[in-house]
Amino acid sequence: MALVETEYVREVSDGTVTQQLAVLRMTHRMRVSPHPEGLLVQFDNQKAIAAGGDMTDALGALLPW
Amino acid sequence: MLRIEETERVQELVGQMYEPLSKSPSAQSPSALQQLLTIMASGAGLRSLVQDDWDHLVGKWLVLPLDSAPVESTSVSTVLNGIPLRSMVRQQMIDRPSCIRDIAAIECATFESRSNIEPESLAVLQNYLSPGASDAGVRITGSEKVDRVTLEIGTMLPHEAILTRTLQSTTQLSGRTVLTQNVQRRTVRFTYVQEQ
Repeated sequence: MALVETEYVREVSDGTVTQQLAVLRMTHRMRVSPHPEGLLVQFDNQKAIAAGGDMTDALGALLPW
Repeated sequence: MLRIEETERVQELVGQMYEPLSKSPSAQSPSALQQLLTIMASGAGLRSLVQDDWDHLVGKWLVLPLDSAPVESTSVSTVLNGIPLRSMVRQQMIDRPSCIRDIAAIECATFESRSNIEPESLAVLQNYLSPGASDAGVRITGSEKVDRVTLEIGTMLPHEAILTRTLQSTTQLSGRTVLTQNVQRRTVRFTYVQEQ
């Protein structure tokens, strides 16, 4: 079983100052067990840890790129 | 992957998550957004997403040899409405760290794929992202995607995945050039423990 921690950060910099535009942190549980057809992978227990800024891009970033 | 099960709850959550967007005044076409969400949250859409995610995390590294010279190639991406973007891609194993699973030390490998959009495609990207921006003195000067994944050598179980996208641009302001760097980073860490 694995605890999976996901963090997304978006920031912009002009070379001197860095400004954070969005941050998102969350966790979920991944369980892998034997299955007659191979392996069974289960994801559950999703928890939001922190979120701030413009979430539009953050949500997109959680999908495969 | 053979199939994904119990998608109803995920479909419900995706609908709730994007509902405010479809009602916002800036939404250009709520019905188009709804259509996209319906496709994305369908069983086939979710299966495709999960398959892509797993391939990104594990599958694509299976063929990359350990401790070898970098593998360089050119790739053409057509994600932007069919507009082709050419990139230089360099892939290699960059480290062999020790990972921890439960309390045991496991031999791992860190693979990296570094992709840079070629200069002639940057103009195409700029015209797509912000047509007219060049008239305002804005120029995209670089676009890089760095994909770094740490996997167990024996089992290919993932321990860490960091995906960083960087877009660099310059803007002419009152006769001086201002550099801007826009960075998006997604980090995923896996901590393995014995189930109680």
